[in-house]
Amino acid sequence: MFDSTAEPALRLCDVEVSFPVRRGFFSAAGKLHAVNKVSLDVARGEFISIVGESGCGKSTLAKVLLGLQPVTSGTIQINGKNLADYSRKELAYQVQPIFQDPYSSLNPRKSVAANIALPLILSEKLTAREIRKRVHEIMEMVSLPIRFEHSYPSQMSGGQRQRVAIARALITRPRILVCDEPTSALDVSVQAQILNLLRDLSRRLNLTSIFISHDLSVVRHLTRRVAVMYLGRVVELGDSEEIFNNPRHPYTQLLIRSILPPDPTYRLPPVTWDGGGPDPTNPPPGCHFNPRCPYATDLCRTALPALIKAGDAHVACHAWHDIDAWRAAGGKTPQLS
Amino acid sequence: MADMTDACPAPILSVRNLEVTLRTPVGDLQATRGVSYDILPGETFAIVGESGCGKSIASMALMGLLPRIAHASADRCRFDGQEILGLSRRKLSRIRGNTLSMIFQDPMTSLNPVYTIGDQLTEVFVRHGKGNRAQARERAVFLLERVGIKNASARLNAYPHQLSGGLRQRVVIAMAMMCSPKLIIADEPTTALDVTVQMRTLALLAELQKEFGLSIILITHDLGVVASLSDRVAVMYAGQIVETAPTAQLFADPTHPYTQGLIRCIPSYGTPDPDSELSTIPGMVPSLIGRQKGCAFRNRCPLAFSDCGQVAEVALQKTGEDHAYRCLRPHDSLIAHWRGLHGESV
Amino acid sequence: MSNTPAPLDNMELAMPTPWQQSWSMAKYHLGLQTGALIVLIALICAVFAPWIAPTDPYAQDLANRLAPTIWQEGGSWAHILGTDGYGRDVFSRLIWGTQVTMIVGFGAAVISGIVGSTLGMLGGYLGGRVDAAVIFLINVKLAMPGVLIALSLVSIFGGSLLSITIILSLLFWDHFAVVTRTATQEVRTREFIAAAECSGASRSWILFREILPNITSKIIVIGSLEMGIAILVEAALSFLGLGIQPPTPSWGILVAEARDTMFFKPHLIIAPGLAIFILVVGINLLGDGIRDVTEPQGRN
Repeated sequence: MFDSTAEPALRLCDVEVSFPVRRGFFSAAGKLHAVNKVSLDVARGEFISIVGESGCGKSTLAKVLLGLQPVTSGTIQINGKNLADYSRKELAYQVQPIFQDPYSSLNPRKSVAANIALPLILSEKLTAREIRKRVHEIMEMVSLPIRFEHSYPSQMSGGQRQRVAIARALITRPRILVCDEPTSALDVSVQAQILNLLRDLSRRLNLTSIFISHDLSVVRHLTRRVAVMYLGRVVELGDSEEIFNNPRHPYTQLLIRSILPPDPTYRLPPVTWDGGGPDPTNPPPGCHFNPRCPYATDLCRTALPALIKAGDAHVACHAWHDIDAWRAAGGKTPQLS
Repeated sequence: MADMTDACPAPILSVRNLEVTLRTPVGDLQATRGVSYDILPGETFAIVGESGCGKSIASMALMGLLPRIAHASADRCRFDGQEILGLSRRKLSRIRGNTLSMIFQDPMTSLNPVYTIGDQLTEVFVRHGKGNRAQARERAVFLLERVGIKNASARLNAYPHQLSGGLRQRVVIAMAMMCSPKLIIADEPTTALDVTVQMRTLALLAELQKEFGLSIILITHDLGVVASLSDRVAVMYAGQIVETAPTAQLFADPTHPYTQGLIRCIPSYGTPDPDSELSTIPGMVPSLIGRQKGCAFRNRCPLAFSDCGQVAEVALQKTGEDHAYRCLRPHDSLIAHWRGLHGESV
Repeated sequence: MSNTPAPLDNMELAMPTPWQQSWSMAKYHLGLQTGALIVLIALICAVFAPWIAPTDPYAQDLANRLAPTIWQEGGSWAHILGTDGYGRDVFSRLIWGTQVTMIVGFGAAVISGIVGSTLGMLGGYLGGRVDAAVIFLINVKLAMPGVLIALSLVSIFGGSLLSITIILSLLFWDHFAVVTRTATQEVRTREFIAAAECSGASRSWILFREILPNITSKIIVIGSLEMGIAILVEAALSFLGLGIQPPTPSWGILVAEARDTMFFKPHLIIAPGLAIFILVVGINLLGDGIRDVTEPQGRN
């Protein structure tokens, strides 16, 4: 939809996931829209980021792409074929995950080789010798010494385990890699190693990568396109250059200003408080961000803005034009809460 | 900070040669080695390092919160004029939550889910004999309002699970402030919070510190947090302090190769470019089991040379007023290396 | 000062293998070692009873009734623990009794373990209606007066080794179900299960190849507790005359038979009683020890 290439590797069309929730014992069951009408095209070989805070639906979206969470409505196409039409085993050769916590993403009772080879063992197409060869190839690719093949995850450091997880994800030679906060459990020095590895591999193997993160500074360093999510909706989408240099949605602006630079001359802004975080089970009417937004108008409090083209990006904000003009005229960003 | 000259204000906390050993089935693990620092009244002292570097366990030792397999010893561990290491539980509990309090990473671990936040806030106050229930309530309302919780007197009846993560952490901060502590140890206080909440929580800590003249030990892995909040920093690696400096100086002239590497690893450091590699520190932290000879960082260090593995122990070298680093190389050559990394001449 | 660059391929493993870790913990685990020794001795007695026992446990020697033990006056090596009211060798009967005890205890633990763990894992993994059904079964089981039902079942089906074992296993499966259900629910949320699903794993693969290996140590601990209880209940049933039928040498029967003479020949009741006590303690020590050295969270 936003990309002109012939056939995207991944196409999301009005994807919606909702869960029934009960707020009190007597109150009627409500609905939590974890993912709300998300449409997105990802071109083959593209490295795209999805950012947002906890509860914005980014992890649910990852589960949807992996086929772990059925959608309530909408369609997902992978290489032109509906995700629902793939069998589990076929899907394993299309999409693979890398999860956040390398301490829980590997089976502690299985050796490194058995963990990595799992998708191949399940497909039952290769002999044990062929599987072993593939495991060695992939371990080399992620810079894991072959001598670790009979070791167990509990013997390894977080960074090594994450390499094992990457090896397992790549052993089926999938087209799409879904990385759900792959480095947020790692130390900074290790994080950098893993991020470099992920980027190199996705380039070398021409992978389509969806990188889900809450850390904008990582995203800025890694990807060319970014989608910002807030309470289940994409509120801004565009090239990362554009989004970081000229954020249009007030929420994106807030996120970018929340990055703490490693700069001792940086001064924290004075504290202001709102009524606490948003409640995903009970989003405010109109634009979901309006209670926290300093630019909110009556329109924002009643009508939900659609994701529309705004300059070189797409933004879901009624007031983006005014904000843009005001910022261009040198208006100081008001303090957001 | 091996030997700080006794400057004008007496330190609120003075630690010398703190050693913590963990007895594990595979051998004794040296969690911290020769950790020494002074905290002055009203300053924020950051201890930064990666997981397993000993930054948390050093503070746990001060609070008497070590696991049973741990053993701590120190030449000195004086808080507010009193030796606190090895104090009996009774005596420690008079200090903990009173003049010395702690903020943990996960607010749910510091709040008891079965009591209202009002109960928990007033309980600390009354237990330490600061006043009666009514006074405690008054102070709780004052502090909750101070940390930005609206409708504080009504919120006293709320249970922890009824609050969002950010609000909970503010309640924990208010609880730490109940007895007007002199020192707060904040262990990764914002790691579990969302980015937008993190900034506000840090700003709140900074404000409270100025207002009440607190000292804060800020334990974190995030150099962004260090830069935004602290006055002085100690960088820890493999159980040792490898560099200590005023924050501005640490970022301007990081001296120890590990500090240099750590700063360069931060994704938001320098100009972001999706085409360039992030710089990394190759390799991994060495095993801390058994006492190791030489510099612990040598196997990852771009400047390591043969002596690094030969010496028994690398000593802290002083450079300037308040800046020390644990490396065999002279200060000039390390700074030259740092500038060289950025294409500058010395 | 030379400028030798540091080696870059310095990836090492932080820890020894899980087996080495378990082994190095087991080396210092006195409880585990004691328990293992006791269970091993009992096993040897059970398996090699025909060779170890000095005499036939059924052979009556009416001329030599209530013979004294070796340490009493007039005792002899022929009857180390003396003889009982029928002149049978107590020591031999004790050793043969190990066989009955171990078969019943182990059999009941294994059968109830298989039944209970399967139900618990299915409920914990599948959730929804299956889980509701499992919970219902557990609740029904908990609401029934187990021992009374066991007593009536034994009186209906008789006290053969097989029926006692099966009836006892019906008594204990719920403990396995409760524990495996919670453990499965915990393991199910870990990311390697999601990764296995993304690799195309079937439900049965996930249940038996991913989840089961992670909860076996818990099952073993429960199994050891249940085995201990099964041994006690079997002894109780046999003591009441409802279990294994005389003259088969079960420890419960030995206790029952010694009742008449317990005031002037106390060793006749103390010996089997002590055997039961030591074996049950040993099994529990072994189970606890296995948990201590194999649970991953016991490490790090």
